[in-house]
Amino acid sequence: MISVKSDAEKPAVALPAPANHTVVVGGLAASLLLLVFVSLSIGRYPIGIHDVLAILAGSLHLSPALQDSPAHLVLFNVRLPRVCAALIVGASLSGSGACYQGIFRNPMVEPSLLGVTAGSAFGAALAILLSASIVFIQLSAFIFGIIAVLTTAAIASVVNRSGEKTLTLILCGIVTGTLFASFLSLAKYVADPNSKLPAITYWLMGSLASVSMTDIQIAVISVITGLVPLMLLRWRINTLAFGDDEAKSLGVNTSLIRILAIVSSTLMTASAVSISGMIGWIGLVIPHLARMLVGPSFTILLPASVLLGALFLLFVDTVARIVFPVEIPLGILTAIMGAPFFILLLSRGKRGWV
Amino acid sequence: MKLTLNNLSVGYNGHQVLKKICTSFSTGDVVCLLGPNGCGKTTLFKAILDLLPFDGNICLDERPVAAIPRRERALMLAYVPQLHIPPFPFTALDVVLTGRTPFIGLFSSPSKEDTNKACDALELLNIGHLGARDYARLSGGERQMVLISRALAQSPQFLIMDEPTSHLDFGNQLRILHLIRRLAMKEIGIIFTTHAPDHAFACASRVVAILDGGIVADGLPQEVLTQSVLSRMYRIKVDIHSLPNGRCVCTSASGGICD
Repeated sequence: MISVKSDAEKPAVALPAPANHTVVVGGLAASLLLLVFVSLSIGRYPIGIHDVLAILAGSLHLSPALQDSPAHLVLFNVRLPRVCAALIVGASLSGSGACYQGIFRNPMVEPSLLGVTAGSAFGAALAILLSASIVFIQLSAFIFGIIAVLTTAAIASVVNRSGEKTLTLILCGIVTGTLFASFLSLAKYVADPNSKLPAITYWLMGSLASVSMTDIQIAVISVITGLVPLMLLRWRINTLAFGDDEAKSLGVNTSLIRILAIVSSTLMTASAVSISGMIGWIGLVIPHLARMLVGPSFTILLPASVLLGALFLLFVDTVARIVFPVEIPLGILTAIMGAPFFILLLSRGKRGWV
Repeated sequence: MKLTLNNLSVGYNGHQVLKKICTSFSTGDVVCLLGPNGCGKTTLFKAILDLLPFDGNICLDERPVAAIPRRERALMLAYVPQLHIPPFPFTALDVVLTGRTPFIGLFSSPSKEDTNKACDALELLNIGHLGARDYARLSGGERQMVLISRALAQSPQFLIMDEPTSHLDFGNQLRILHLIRRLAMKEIGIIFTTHAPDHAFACASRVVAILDGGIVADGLPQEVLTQSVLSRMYRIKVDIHSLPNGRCVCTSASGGICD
């Protein structure tokens, strides 16, 4: 990560090597592309990579010959939505996790900090309780995720302990999270234990199996709406890692940047959770992996986290589809597969998070 | 450029920390603020940097600081905080680059020129070799130097330094004081706090003594740092010795604790 030249050619200023970071990000993007094609190709109904490419290329030219082949149906109705969902959810959770860790100056933080996932979980449970359709479940999860964060912000602005805005916000997030977790428990308590309770439980474990192309189209729009501001503001977000007083004295409008970052991250997380259910681990741990690879500067950390999150979730979901005879919920697999991987990297990496 | 404080009062939750402070600072001055713990030195800095609400006026060349856009103000006032460790392993160059923030557009990242200026700031302090090192793993003295580099990368008119010599070993303290003198020659105004009156003798062109939220003495170091002022501030008996080279040092007198 750091270029250490020999003393003979030691430059006046030892510069960290940005070239390495570009290579890492390029490598992640290339691996991701490769994995997308592999994942589209393998499964219960294998489609050769060559056919995948032919079908994808053919659909662009609207060639009618391939429209009704089973390979075409599997690819467009089953696999493509699922692959896209894995990319979107992985990228969103990991990107917003990296953002939250930066703006709250805390490596133990994850996207659920301000209550968004607790809100979404309750929203989904409520919709399931009301026997709503899958579209309405997703919509309800999204809306309640946003409501939870707004509640946190509202409580924080009422409490408003001077000078400790960040801490106040985190504490209010814990309050809101607990509150919505209790609402969720209440929903589970009153749910029919034979039909609705299992539905709620399975939703909470997270899965990409039932995602449709329409869900993807909606989620892509809201995820991009969140990601673009984060990408644009990523240098300014860096300065918040040094604390509000310092960032302000560097000329940064800290409140504006923080609000924009929270709104963007919330949008991304809520859309991800609404199509996938609860998938833990990614928002907390993938940013750390990315930080080990490219360092903590948010200018490069954000793109690296987004790519790595997408790569990780696509990998786990592909394994979930293929390896096990019965599909195991993603929320369980991400942790089981991620933990040893993370421990390995942790023991080898020199630069952790402190 | 002139930084003027007029009738400045600051308080937390109704408790007045600073009461009707009137003074001014000019670029090229090295002003040392002295005072016991809790007398309001850091509060004064926070008010100047517009980090705390205050009553009265703080002006930069007749313009009230609160009315100057934050980004423009960052080109006039730079802040060197007390030592801290960020939660992530930024390189020293990353830290210095944040000093270029007022020059970088809201949606932009540092340009090649910003990196060059950050390198210049590191080299000015002879710490270019630290550029790629993990800031969190530098020694206290090195980190202090990096923070000063960052402030210089802002190319400010005034440098506001909160206890720049605390946590430093004997040699690094003197290096920082020497650096402060060098910077003042570049027509930067320096306002710093310290708990060592000797440091005021060593490099300040002016000393402002603060006690109980008010200024009790203001002037040349040898005028302000008298036995009576120091005894009043620190509540100990103090002896001041003139060294053969003309410099003064102070020591606590025997049987010195007054309370």
